[in-house]
Amino acid sequence: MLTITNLSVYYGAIRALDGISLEVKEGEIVTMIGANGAGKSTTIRTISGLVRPRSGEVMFEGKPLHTLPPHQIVTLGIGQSPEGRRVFANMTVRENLELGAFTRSKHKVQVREDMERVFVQFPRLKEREAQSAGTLSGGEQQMLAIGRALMARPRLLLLDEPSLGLAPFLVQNIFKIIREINQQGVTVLLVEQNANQALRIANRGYVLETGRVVLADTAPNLLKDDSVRKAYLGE
Amino acid sequence: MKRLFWLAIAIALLFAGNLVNNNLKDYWQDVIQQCGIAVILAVSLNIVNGLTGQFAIGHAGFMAVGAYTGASITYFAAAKFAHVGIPGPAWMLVAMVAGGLLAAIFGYIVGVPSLRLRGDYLAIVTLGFGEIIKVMLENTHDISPALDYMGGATGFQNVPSLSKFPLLWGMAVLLIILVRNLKFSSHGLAFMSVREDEIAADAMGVHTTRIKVSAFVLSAFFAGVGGVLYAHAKLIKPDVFGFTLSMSYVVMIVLGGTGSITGATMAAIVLTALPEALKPVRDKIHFTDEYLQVIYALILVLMMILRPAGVFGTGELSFAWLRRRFGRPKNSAIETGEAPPEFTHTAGERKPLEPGEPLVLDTVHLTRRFGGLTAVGDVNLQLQRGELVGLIGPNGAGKTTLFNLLTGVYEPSEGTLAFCGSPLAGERPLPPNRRWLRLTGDVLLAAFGGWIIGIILSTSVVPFIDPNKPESLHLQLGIKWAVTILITLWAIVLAPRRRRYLAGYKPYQFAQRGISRTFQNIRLFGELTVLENVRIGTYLRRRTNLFDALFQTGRLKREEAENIAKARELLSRFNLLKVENEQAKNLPYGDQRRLEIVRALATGPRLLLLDEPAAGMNPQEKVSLMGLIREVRDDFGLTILLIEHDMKLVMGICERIYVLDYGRIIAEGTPGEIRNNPKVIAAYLGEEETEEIVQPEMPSPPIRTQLQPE
Amino acid sequence: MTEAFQIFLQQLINGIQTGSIYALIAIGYTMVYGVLKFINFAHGDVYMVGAYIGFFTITGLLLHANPLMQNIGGLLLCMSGCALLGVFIERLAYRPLRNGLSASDAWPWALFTALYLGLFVGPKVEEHSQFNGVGAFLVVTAVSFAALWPLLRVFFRALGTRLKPSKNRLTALITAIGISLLLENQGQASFTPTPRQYPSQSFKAINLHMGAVQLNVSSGRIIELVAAILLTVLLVYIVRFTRTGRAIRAVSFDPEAAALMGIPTDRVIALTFIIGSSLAGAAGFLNHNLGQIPFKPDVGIQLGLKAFVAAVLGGIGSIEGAVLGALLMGLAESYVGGSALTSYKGAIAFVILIAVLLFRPAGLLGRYVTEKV
Repeated sequence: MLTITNLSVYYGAIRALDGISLEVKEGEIVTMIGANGAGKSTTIRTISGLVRPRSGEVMFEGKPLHTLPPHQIVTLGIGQSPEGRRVFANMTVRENLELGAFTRSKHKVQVREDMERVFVQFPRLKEREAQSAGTLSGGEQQMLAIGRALMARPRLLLLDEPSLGLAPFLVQNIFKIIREINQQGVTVLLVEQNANQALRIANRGYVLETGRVVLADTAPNLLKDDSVRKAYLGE
Repeated sequence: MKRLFWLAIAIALLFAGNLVNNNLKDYWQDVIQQCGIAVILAVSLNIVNGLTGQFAIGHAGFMAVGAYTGASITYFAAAKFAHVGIPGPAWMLVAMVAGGLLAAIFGYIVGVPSLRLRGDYLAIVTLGFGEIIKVMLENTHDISPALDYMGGATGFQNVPSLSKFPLLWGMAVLLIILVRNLKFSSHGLAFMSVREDEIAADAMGVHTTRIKVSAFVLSAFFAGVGGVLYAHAKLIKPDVFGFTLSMSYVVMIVLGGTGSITGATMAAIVLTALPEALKPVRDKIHFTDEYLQVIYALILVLMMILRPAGVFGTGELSFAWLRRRFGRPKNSAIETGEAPPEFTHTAGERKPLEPGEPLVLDTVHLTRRFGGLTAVGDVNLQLQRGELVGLIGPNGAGKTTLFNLLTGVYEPSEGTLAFCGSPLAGERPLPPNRRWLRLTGDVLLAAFGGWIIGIILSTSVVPFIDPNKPESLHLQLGIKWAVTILITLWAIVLAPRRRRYLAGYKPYQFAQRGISRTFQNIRLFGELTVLENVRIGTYLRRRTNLFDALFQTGRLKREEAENIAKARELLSRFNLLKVENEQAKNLPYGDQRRLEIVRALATGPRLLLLDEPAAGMNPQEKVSLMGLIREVRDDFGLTILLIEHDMKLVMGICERIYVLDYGRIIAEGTPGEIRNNPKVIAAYLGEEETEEIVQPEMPSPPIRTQLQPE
Repeated sequence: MTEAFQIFLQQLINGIQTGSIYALIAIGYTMVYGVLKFINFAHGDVYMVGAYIGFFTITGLLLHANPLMQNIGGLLLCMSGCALLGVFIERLAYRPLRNGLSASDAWPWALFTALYLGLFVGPKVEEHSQFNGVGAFLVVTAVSFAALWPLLRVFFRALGTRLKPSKNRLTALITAIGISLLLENQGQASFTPTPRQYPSQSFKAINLHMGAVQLNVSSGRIIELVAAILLTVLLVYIVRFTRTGRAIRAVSFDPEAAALMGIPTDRVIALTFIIGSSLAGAAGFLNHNLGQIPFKPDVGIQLGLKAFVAAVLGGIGSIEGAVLGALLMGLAESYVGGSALTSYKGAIAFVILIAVLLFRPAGLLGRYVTEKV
């Protein structure tokens, strides 16, 4: 579904990605793990068109993404919940969700259905429908960010650090929801620092280090892998 | 001796220029005069907009203040001493000093409130100031009939033409030399550090607000001087000093390259002289002035799109630059005529801990809330001298917030922070003298504002009352003074309760007391060279002041030499001396991280805070970084607190570790204890299943190199 | 007392009316600042062009034969003309500045150059051919556009790969000043500095009786006020309650996150220029057509500056703030103008501004954002 080959990205003189290749197949949950600055977020940002690669390509169902502007990439069926949530704090929850469906605003009935579905998934959002998003708690904002991304009916959902800054029980909840979303037929590419949780729900995983993929395997294998354990426990 | 020689040459050149000038047609003499004035104004504006990176767009207002002050002085001198003859250059000197000073005072009044804030506020306030001055000058008659000699909107007549070539260009050259002196001293570097990154400058001990105000006042002073010269060259009218004139100076420095003195000078001359030079051509092809302006505007737009940094960028045209550009390449050590210094720092400076010695860092119940969210709660950290302590925790645990509390970026909501035994943060009143000074200032400001508002209100009732009755006069006076007194009282009652009377220390004061830091996302001064970055670090231990910098006094030269030597010594210690003249932004990532550490060390800290120093480094770089951090601690006798994600690194070098989660310290202990602490494992892995992970103690940090790219 | 009250009311109406014109212009400043975070100094000149578009179409096409045509037709023409101008400025200067040059920036520059060629070479062609003035202009413009466009495309593409867009705010400001200079001087050249006045219309004077108080207001001014209020309300409705408005707000809050929602940010920015410029055009038309105020090509400078101050006063970036600031300024000017301080009318705006900024740095309804470390 999504194929990245030999992707290199620079920020000025600094190399953020150094020839990354990875693949996401339809229906999978794929996770990218690695330390801060390893290039996980850069990869996500390159897929969604916010960053232009210096070389390499990103193909989504055979179409090149690295030449398209971000808003066209969304229309192809790629939704994203960005790092740090980035909800529109000055707007209400409902307005945020409506913005999520910006590309499909013509289909009013469908949008309303989708919103109902999001509210079923995240009952907390329903309660706070008319509240401005800036007043939500961190967990609620994360739910809103995911819900907002779902409103575009994506076939591929990019999640950048959804557990960032959330309390443990909320983290559990978020991961449960990610799995549910996947079961409804959405392919998920998940970037996480919380490696164990991420690998637990993922089919496959990539370990990134300083802009390169250093390890790629199925999630259960990575969970067992000594080097991954060490990297995350610092022995 | 050398100075006198150059001075003689300069004077000779000026008089030679004068001779040539006097033989030109009047028209061209006028153009040359205009160029000189433009140079003074552009170079002075460059101090604020170029060097310091602020955004002032009301330069013409300060120019007008200077012009009218200076013109008044010579005007009265001419009237009073008519029997002796016209006032000479001596009066001109008085006029320039007075005009400059008054403009500087206005600069201070405008600058202090608006420069505290970042962003476009200075632009808006200076814009408003320029317009207010213009309107005031147009209505001099209404202010006081005694000011009628200024001529109101028709202009100030009968100002003697005293801006002769040698004076005007002598001032221009002097200004260029002074600003150049400033730019290449560490004081100038402090100005530029504010432009490059205000937060980092603050953390390096640069008092950013004071620097900005100094730059602004200095610039206003020279604008005033330029105004005086203008007043004695051309007829001054209020509408000359409008928005358009201010903008033309802004355009000059942006086109020339903001921060470049050469650029500002060149642009001032070219933009003033070129339209005049093109006039014959224009007349020949029947082009109107408007179209000339259209072309000028187009060039401006194209220039911004194609070369936004201006012609010269931030660089200067100098002999050294010409040599580098066109001569044989020489390496930096030869150019400066020195061999790279030996590293002389004496290792093993660490004295053994004495029993009663205060903790380097001691925080009690340190808490910071944002809105309802507690980012850091009830943190108690104790650091002894010479310790190397790690602070770990998952993303979003509040580590960076804690760092910001420890460096004064945030003030704690609750709790106290003591550094080497003396309190650094936490609410406490200002020392009494500063408190009274501030209170006096606030009350005076309020009284002045109240008086103005009183006048406005009392005059605005005029249409509603019968001006002939005495009661209405009483009413007006009553309103005016009641408003003034009420607002003053309000200030007296409310001002001391305001937060700024209770504030703790600012980041630059933390740095001055000996806490230095690096940043998670590197915050170097990108446009400056590696050496200059480190010199800014030494700035806070300076003993010289701004005037030393402007006039290149002996003690400044000595201090600069000392600082440069110290900076180069540090650079050579960290293997960065070979790139000392590179711009910091062009360094590879790992070098940038190390440079940040060097810059922090240059401030002479006792406590060094490292915020994720290994982020984005590859395993080899991390290994060398670990060694480096330990060495730094030993060689400089420092205490180090280190935030890091990379557990391996933290476990490898730290003697003690604090673990932060949800803003609270959940564990503290040696690496071995932390590694086996179930709470920590849960926090990091987000699960409870621990038995599988607990491992026997590891003697030394193994380095993972077996992972290779696929 | 009644007399004083009458003056008070009269000034109130004048103030609101001036304020409503300021508001229409201030909205443009605040919207562009919202999405692009820079001061579009050329906005005042768009107002000026608007006034001239109305003037020339009305006098040229003799629209003043019919009051409906003069007022409604003129307004629509002004608004659409200014909208085109605004979006053209955006494409010509601001977008290349923001995103770096690319092949898609070729057409505005080609068109721009072609128009000037038409203006200068056109008369020469007219002399040597059977084309009349307009025909020659059109032919020269069309031919040179066709020649320049592909050429510039190639050129810009090559340049674009070598240039990095500037993040410096001073750069954007200087560009805006360049555009402003361009419009002003082109205005001086094309429209000549002679003051112009719209064909006069006979408006009834309305006498309002409220007890002992009597007010005389020209019905033209009332219509002007009502039109300005309607336009403002329409705009607030669009921005608050429509999909487009949501997109605009999203882009001003966080352009990147907005792009991730599938919002075409560049198009939204162009749209804010369309809206802001058409409102400035409307202001120009209303103020000079219904208000019967004579104008010259430099009319936009002072008025633009005032409107900008109003936007800052209300909190730049906030539309409601701009309207509030504009009304406050209109009232302040009107009352000061009617008082003994009348000669300081020009400065009162700035005094209020500085006073407000000292206490509320972000303006009345704005928010001051501090940088995160």
